[in-house]
Parts: sequence; C-alpha cells; structure tokens
Amino acid sequence: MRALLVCWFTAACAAAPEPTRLEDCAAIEDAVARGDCQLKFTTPLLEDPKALDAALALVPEGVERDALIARLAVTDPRRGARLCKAMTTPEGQQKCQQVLGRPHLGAPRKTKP
Amino acid sequence: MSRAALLLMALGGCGAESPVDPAGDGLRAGGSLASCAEVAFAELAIPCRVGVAAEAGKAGDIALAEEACALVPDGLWREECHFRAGEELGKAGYTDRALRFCARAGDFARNCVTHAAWGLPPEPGLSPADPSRALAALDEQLNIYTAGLNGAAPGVQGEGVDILLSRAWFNLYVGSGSADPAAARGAEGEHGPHARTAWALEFVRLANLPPDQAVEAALAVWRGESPVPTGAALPPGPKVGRHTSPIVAEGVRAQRHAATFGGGVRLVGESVEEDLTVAVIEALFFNEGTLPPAFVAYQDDPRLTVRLTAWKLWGLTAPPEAVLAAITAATDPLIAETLRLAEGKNMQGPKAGRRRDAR
Repeated sequence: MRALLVCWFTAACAAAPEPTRLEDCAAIEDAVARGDCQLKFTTPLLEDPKALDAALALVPEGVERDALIARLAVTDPRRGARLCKAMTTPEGQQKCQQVLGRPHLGAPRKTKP
Repeated sequence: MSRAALLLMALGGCGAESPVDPAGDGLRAGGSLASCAEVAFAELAIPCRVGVAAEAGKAGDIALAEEACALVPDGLWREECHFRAGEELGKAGYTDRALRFCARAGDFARNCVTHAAWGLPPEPGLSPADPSRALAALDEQLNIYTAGLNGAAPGVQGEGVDILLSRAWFNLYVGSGSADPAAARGAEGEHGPHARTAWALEFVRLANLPPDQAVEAALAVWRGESPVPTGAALPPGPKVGRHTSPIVAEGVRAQRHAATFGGGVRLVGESVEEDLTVAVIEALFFNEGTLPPAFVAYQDDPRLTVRLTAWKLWGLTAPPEAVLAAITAATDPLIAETLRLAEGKNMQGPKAGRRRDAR
C-alpha cells in the first residue's frame, strides 16, 4: 500500500503537462505557479496591445487578473500602465491609482531602460 | 512514514507550499517592508516597497525610505522610489533630505524637485516686514538647495535651485498681507527674478486694481513713490492660482527664464523695472479673474520680454478661435510660435491646461 501511494503521489506531481498557451494556465492548481504561467504568456504581448487585450480577456475578471495586469504594468510601465483602467477590483484600482498610474512612468525614458 | 502522513502529503499537493491568495495578498500588501517581503510575486513587491518609501518620506523617516528603495531593482523603479520619497519629504518640510532623494531620481529628478518644492511649507517666522532676516534665511535656503542637489544629473541642480528659490520667495510674500518691496528690492543674483515674481503676486492681490493700472502702480510702489498696499493675510494652507507648464518659443530659449508657480517659467526682463513689468503681467494671469483684454495693452511693448509675455498670456486665455486667427495674422515668427504653444494649452478650449493644482 505504501509503495502504491508513493507511486501515485510521484505520478500526480510529474504528470502535469507543460502549458503551451495562456488557456492552459487555468489548469494549474498552485496559485503562484498559475500567475507566473499567465505572466509568461502575456509579457511578450506587451508590444502588441490588441493581442494583449485579447489574451487578458481569456483570464476571468477578478483579483487574479488584476494582479497579472499590475505585474505587466510593473514590468513595462510605458506599455502596461494603460491597462490600469481594465482593473475591476478595489485593491487593483487602488494599486493603480497610488503607484502604477503616475503619468511620468508612461513617458519615454531618456536614460537607461 | 504512516499511511495518514503519506495521504496528507499527497492531498497537500506537490512541492513547496504556496499562499492561498497570492494575487490579492500582492495587491493589498503595504505598510511595512515585512509585508512586502511576504509578497509571492516579485513584481508586486516593487510597488509595495515604493509605497513604503513614500510613507516613510511623509513621516520624515529617511532610514526606512533608504532601506525600502535599496530593495527596489536598479533602474526605473529605483528612480521612482527616490522620487516618491523625495516629494513626500519635501511636502513634509524636510527640504535637504528631499533633495538628496530627488538627486537620485534619474529621469524623474526634475519632477521630483518640482513636487518637493511646490509642496514646501512656509518657513515659520519669516515675513516681508523683516527684510534682513528674510534675506538671510533665503540665502541659507539657497545653500541648502545647492548642496542637496549636488550630484544630480546635468542641468538638474541649476533648474532645481531655480524652482526651489521660486517657491521660497512665493512662501515669503504670497498670502502674507504685506507687499512691502524692501526684501524683494534687496534680493540679488539668483534671488532677484523670484523675489520680483512673488512680490508682484502679493501686490496684485492686495492692490486689487483694474488690470490696466497694475503695472504703473506697482512700479510706483517699488520706487517708493506710493504707499505700500496692505490687507488681510491668507489663512494657512495651499495658495493656488491660474498657471501653466512652460511655454518657451525656440527663438527665446537662450533668454533667461525663471521658474514660476507649479512648474511654469516666465521670461526675465533685461532691467529690474522691465522684469517687474513682466512679473506684474504674470501676476495678473495668476489671478483667475483677469480677462484676456488685460494683456492686449502690452502686446506692442517695445521690450521683447514684455511683448512676448503679453502674447503668451493672451494666447492662453483668449477664445481659441481668436488665438488661431492671430496665429495666421502674425507677421513676427516669434509671436506666432509663442501663440501656437499657448494655443496648445489654451484654457478656454477643449485642450484646457492645468489651472488650479492644489499646492
């Protein structure tokens, strides 16, 4: 029985397939890993606003999506800060207002990137 | 290992234990560096630490602000952290410390100094009625500003000192209830234009004359030919008025400018009286009740600084259609360019500029 359980446990951990697209992230149970997965697939889209908007529409509205938006805005404030208005939760909106939505953060950089 | 323990392990999931709501926790985190350290997503720990630095600035806690900013990655967010701490320290009256943060705010250094400066509270006990004390204190302030911005990016120190002096003189005169020009008359060197700007603002407020009489009356008081107007001091708190961001035509970039309320600039006249004239016209603009015709009288002035100031202020306040017509009709390219820049910030049109930021 012990051997069987260990075998089952190991298999369960190893069996999760590597996500290949944003939609696959939803199947990840661990919230941090799920968030990182979402970020991995959306960060490259920061240069393509339409594609990014379409991708974000695949993530259900709520704290998890707002956190993803906030992470994108921190990663690239010039491109990501516009997404602030898409936040729907009070904590997301507050974060945007206080920190991410400051207009100079969206201005082109004169010095280092 | 017992069967139950194995089952628990299996149910608990794989690998390290993860927080239940890392997204919500990350968005809500703040108030302390310990709270920021708990954030599971590294990107969300950044605004958390910037927020802690800003709060530390408000409380004058330099050590905590330094610690928070040091934990933020170098580059844009570290600069933003210094900016937030600097502006809050400035608002709280810790000028020298504020400037040390602003000097490290990189691309945001000018914004930081502007915010810190225009949030600076008045120096207690200073009054235009005691000019020698006021001049000594403002000289000391100049040294603090210069030292505080040492090491800032090229150009920031000079521009920053200009903005700070503008605020320091504003704090001395505006709302004081005294338009005694003695302190402003004694202002030399870098102080001069700022002293005249601030004195003119208080003169226009207290004299409360029709705009077409303001310049001559101000010059008479300055020369000691007329009595000094007095009136009620304004209650403590923000003193606000109509203002705009800088409008500088290419052709006068080399001309001397001085910082004005809320991040703007004005031309500096060639002589004291020419400069006073410019300062009084600018003070009329600060007073929101002044209508565009008040500036028309100076549009043909032989002095370039006076003429361009009048066109600029008229371009900001006149109906946009009239400004556009004047741009087409202008034969002087310098006036046309000034009007174009002013039209872009016209306060009657849809592109209305900033008017009453509380400072």
